[in-house]
Amino acid sequence: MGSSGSGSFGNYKPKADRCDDPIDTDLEDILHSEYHAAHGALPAKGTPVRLRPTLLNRRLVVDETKTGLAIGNLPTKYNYLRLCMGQGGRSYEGTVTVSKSSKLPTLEVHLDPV
Amino acid sequence: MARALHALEANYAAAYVCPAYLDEDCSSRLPSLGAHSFAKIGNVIGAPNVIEIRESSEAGHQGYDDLLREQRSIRFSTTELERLLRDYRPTDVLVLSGEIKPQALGTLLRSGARLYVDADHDTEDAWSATKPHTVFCSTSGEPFRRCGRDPEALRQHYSNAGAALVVLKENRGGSRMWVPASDQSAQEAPAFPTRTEHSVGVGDCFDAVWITVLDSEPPASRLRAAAYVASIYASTFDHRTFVRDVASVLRSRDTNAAELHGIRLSWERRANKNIYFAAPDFPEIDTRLIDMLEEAVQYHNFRPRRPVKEMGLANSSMTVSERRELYFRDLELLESCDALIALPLTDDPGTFAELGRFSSTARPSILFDPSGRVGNLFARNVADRICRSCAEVIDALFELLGRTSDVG
Repeated sequence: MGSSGSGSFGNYKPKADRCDDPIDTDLEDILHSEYHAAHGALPAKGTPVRLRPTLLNRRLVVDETKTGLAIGNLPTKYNYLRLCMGQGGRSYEGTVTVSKSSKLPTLEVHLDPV
Repeated sequence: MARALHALEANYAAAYVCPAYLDEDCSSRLPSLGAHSFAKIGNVIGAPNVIEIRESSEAGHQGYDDLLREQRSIRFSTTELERLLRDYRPTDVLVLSGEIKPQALGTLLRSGARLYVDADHDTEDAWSATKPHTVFCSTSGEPFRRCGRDPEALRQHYSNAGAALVVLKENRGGSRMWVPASDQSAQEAPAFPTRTEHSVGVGDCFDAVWITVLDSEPPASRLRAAAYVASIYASTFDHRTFVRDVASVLRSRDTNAAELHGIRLSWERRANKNIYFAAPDFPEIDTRLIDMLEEAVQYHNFRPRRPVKEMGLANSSMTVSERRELYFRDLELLESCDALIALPLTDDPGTFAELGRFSSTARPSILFDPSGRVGNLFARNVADRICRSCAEVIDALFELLGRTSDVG
């Protein structure tokens, strides 16, 4: 027995702002990135990265901080970050956490809101 | 609907029906959501007017259950509706159809406003005779079901009914718009992927954006704008976040919807997408989770393939040759599919073997692990996505299969 929910007519109770959540994700299209085109390789684990505030080929991309070269696309489920950057002036910075150049290459990044 | 119009900063009035116990809440709530004026045009009697929702993210059928609907009646007041129309003088009227009475229908038509109808809950096809300006339908709704879940049949139906425009919302796969009277093919637009938190009212939100975007905008742009704001709506339960994000879209100089990559995976194309279910689909196993996911995949018009159900199960009476033949048939099925969902309900080696084999072909694979019990490093790293809920699996399917399907 017992009830859950707010118990009254109205909005859902607000949760924490998703713009403040850190991001851990694989990147997409890493072999077609600016970085890979320039270097022929993926950036190493630990490379400082940031989320580019503008779109590249209609996608949010992660740049190597030092050169500004895109290392891969952010999955589209993170499209809301565009709004987080636009309105609140947030930026997102972090590092490469996984870098594997194998038959199925992998690049994973961690980004924190700044 | 009111939430969407509020976020869009639209000038709107609301006509609603509700039971008497909600009168005070509606009267106070609508002004806080920016309604210019409002009127209760119908009293709901005999039922609480509460809908139970089984699946709010619409991973599969939403399972709306309108409580006590058989004993409910609505006493409409055309007087109140006429007063509202007379005082507010709308240029456009959107009706969220369902049990609307002929008198109210007539009153709306006489107002001279352009009539939009969201026909999804219209069980009686009441609008066919009114020649509305625009009809909104979705692949989840009654009109689509009545038309045999065939987009062309839907277009034909509303063409015969005299609708000027028909909009078909195709869930996470995008949308399209027809001008039934013309020979032109449909204008299409993608959906914008998001982490789906809920879907209740997302179709209403789409309608609201379509109506408020200028007629001078090309149809494809209007569809994209509607889909983009609808994706924002579906990504959060929090109304303040929704309002804030839509305000950002309205204020930005660039057209967010036009710039972003979306997913266009039409209803028809999905029917050709075979989804392999790698799972211990055995008689002694509780397969309800597999059944539920199969239903969800079918709901979105993909084609689930369950090898044990289709090819049968190896048994001890089989010869080596028969077992090998079964293996090759399963393998042929595996290699013919477009995506794979692995459901390791038990530590079944076959499930993981199939996941590994499929992943080596660079086609998308999803590991569905709602309980977080899969610790194997290979399993967790070969899959393209690890999903904890049915909604996440469906989102991932659209995203992974729609990667090469963008429109515009």
